[in-house]
Amino acid sequence: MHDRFVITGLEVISPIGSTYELFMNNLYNGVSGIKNITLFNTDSYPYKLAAEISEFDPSQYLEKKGLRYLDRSTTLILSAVSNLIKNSFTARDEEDGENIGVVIGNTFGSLSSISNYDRTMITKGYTFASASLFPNCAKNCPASRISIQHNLMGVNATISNGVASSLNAIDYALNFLSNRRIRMALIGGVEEFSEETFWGFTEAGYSAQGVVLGEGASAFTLETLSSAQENNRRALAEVAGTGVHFASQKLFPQAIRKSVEKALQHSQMQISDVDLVIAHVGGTLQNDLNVIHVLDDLAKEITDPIPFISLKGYLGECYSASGAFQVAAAVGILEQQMIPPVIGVVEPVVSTRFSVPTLKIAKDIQNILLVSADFSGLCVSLILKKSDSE
Amino acid sequence: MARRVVITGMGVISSIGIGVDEFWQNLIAGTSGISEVTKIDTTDFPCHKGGEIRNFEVMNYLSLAEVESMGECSQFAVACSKMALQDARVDVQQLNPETMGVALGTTEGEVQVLQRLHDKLFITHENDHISQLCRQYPTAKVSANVAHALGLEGYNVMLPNACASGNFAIGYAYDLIKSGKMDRMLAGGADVFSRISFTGFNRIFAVAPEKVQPFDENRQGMMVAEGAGIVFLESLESALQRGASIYAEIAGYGVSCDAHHMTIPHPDGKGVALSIQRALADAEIQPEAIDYICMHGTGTKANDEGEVKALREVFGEAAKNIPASSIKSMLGHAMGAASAIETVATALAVKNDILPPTINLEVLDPMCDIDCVPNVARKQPVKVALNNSSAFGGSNACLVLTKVNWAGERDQDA
Repeated sequence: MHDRFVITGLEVISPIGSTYELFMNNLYNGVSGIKNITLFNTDSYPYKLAAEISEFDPSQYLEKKGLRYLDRSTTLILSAVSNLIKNSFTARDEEDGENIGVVIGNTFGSLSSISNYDRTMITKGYTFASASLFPNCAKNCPASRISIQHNLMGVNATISNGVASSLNAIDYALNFLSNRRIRMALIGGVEEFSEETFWGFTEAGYSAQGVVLGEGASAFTLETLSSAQENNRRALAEVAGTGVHFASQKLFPQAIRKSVEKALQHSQMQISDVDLVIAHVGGTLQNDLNVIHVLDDLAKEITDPIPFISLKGYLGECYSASGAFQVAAAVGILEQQMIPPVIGVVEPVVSTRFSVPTLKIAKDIQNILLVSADFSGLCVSLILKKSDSE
Repeated sequence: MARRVVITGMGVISSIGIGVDEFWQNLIAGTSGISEVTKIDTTDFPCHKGGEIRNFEVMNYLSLAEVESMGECSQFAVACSKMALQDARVDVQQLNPETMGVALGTTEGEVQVLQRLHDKLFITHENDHISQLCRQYPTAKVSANVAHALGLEGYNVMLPNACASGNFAIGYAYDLIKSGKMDRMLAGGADVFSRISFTGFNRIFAVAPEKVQPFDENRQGMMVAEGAGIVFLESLESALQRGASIYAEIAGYGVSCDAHHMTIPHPDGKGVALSIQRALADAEIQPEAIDYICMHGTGTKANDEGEVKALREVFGEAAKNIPASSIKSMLGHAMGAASAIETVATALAVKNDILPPTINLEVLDPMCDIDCVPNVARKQPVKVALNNSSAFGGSNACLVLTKVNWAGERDQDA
């Protein structure tokens, strides 16, 4: 018999709340995290908006000693993980660090730190580049700091697949759990917002296309159902299956569809078993909603439209962290049996098979399909189901 | 029943040679790839040498359109992937693209793209190609560019796990084939010469001024290098069916985290020992079976001592007698490509029964009392070998490579 894998704890540091409860409340209340940028001066930029965490103070979550040497990506994910461990870990977990792994979706590392390091070297000279800040240039710094701080000696991996990073991180961790290389995985996604990222997205032309950047971190524990039961942890949701497909940009819609088909097959489900879709495609909110067109044909037998939502109106483009936020929202929705509204829609998508709620809706929800697609070509889909165990 | 996974094609770009043949000949000849650094201005630095790639003609492997569309790290990765496929005598056009994927590691990804942006903004004040460079930068592009160049639609993962990245990627690819999720994988690592790494490693006083001397009493550190190593993996059944030449079987792997420090390895080699023990358990191989270890062997005091302590922890007194060399003595430290290039070297050692040496060894450090195959390659049977790797952040990954008929012989002996 195959193992069943369940999510047993979850925390977020997001533009709409730095606790999981606040995050869900703001989703249900339609509160967007997108606002004028305050982290740096935007006078020289034509675009002014982002979903930043303006008041983020890592000292609320982490020991103050050494904080000034840590970058923003690292402090964001460390803060989420510290809350998660405080709320979810048992004494046995604390002693079983050898069998707990860390898999974090993150693509840019701390771009601000990396860029600053090189700029310091070329503008001021080699001796001005700090030895203490060099570790922040490593793209695996956020994930590594988690294992170091919490003495976790299982796999430590960073997955850099752009928007698809976090869901790919889950698939990667499932491999380790299935092979019993670890007993439990701390999985998450993180991306920092900085002037460097904003400048890059603006220069690349993404901001002109309407992309509004976000930031934040979401982390959760994934383990076998038996491990959860042995540790008296409640299963918040179960991973029913995943699907991965890569295709060129020309075939991007096809790749999204194939990843969904694979996830359904892995879950032994039909599209009619799906009660909600949460989509995230790199770029704008409209890109997310266009997934409806991609899935429309797949759902042609559907008579009762499947609700379809995007979180981009709340969180902006959180890039590698977006999938981890999709998971956070899905777990909350399965718990509360309530779908949050989609906000920020400019162009409604007309479909008889999918509906885009603009108000929160109470609904019986058993299975949620998460779709995450990066414009590099990687599409990862995942189905989360309501846990049937207590 | 789980599939067995074998290496049937390899590509390598290194400071001692491009392609498997040149690389191997120079490796067993003990050739140093260390030279004066030309890719960055080192005038103000205390050290001026590194392991830069020479004689790599990208246009031999990529079209002009491909070269212009991607950063240098991707160029290494795509070129090296094409070498591996050619070496394996595989035409990807004839394969189902959905059953073949890409798993790659890197430390800094397209860092040269970022450096070029900085040069334009702060030194030359040019504003051409800015948009294009910004689009090339995300690390996700490296594995994606390989998949695009070859039309692969299977799993695609980019693992920037610093200097153990290549082994992490190869280990994951092994799992995907073993479990039947994929039929074939291209896996390995790529990194380009980086101003940030050169600066940072100099700032933490980890760089040797003249030569890399792993396990030597007077060793002074590592040297920053660049390169790529990519292996083509398939099931044993598939390889036998198509009559492929097999370099080695991947019998298992193990990973761990030191959970100790971002830049300093655990002084007792605790995490390294754990990754080796996990690799041996995964491969169901006893420590006595190991004929050769390709060491992480950076040439820093801390790394080499910790790694040797880990060997003592796993192998006991026998650790002294297992040949265990560091090819970084020749190549320098190619960062995220290092362990992948070392996998290529280990597979060649298994296939050819020749151990690559640790060059520049003058006086063996008593704290590193191992048989490091000093200075001269050695002809010796290699049925089972390990490839150790460690990284910033404390990640460790160890691969077990065997001769493909070794498992059968072992079972018969038992």
